[in-house]
Amino acid sequence: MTNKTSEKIFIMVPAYNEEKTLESVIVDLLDSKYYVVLVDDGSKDNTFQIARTIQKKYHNNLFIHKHIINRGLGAAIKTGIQASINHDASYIVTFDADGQHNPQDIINVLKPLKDKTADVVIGSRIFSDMPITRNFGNYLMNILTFIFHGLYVHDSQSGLRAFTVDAAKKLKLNYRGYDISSEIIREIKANNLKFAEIPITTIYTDETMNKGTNTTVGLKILFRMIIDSFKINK
Amino acid sequence: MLIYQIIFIPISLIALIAILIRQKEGRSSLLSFLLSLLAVLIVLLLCIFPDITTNIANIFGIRRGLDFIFILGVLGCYILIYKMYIMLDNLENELTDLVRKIALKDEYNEQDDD
Repeated sequence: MTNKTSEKIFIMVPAYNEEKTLESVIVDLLDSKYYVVLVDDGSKDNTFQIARTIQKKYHNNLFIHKHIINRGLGAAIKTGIQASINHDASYIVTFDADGQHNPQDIINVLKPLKDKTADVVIGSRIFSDMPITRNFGNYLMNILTFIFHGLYVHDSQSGLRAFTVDAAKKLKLNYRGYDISSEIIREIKANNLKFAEIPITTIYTDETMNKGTNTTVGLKILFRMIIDSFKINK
Repeated sequence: MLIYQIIFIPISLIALIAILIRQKEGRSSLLSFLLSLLAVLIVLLLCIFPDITTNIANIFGIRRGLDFIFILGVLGCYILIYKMYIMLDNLENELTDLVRKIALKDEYNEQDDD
């Protein structure tokens, strides 16, 4: 349904110790006829083995890459984007492996790209639905991202994003951790990419609450942005 | 003579001799020799003529010479930590690039053995 004509939609899924949720997330995407690039970021659990088992059934649509050691979310996303480009993707969507995203939202975030009204789309989670501990942190990150990178986004830390392949090729990404989300915003601004925000639904479970941008991660991102602002060559 | 002068003057002299011996034996580069020599001579000079630091401190609006040295030391440490952070970050980036190259080269497909 979504992967028609010559347009190749690649869903890029970074995964680190996601054995509990990986199968349902990946199979849902594959059943929707998307190409999936899974980057196992040096998982210590059975993430990789589960992915390989799924691949036996979906060998034409599932591409697996493995970081031999854990390098962080940002590093995994960059690997996944490069792998998607190597497979001649038309559109690249980043999608979390913890089960927090609804695959139906992919259609919505792709629409502005297909209509050529945007080069990049960020899926915005609805903050009022978010647990209070996350709500404040994410709001703060939006403000900090705006201060350091000059673009206000309603959900700068969202894991569901979509890019045209041309836009993805322009991104110069170097951050290794969760700070990649802010770096992507920086690159949107730096490359003058057309940008849209689409509301998405989020499924909050214990798994999704244990990962993502908490206070410690937020402070690390702030530290990184401060240090980076002193660097001459970014 | 003050206590720190009694401690630091012999230490500086020993360091000076060690630096000269290392240079004579060809175990240090010219740049590291000159930098080490400069550092030891400054310490020696400040130990013998402690009033110099007060004079320099006064130029910067700091009253005591010792405060001036302390501030310089803290500042030096910060610069060193920053440089080490950048160096470590670059190393981490290089490691990540290497891991990525391996990951992209070794794409797993259905025909591969686990």
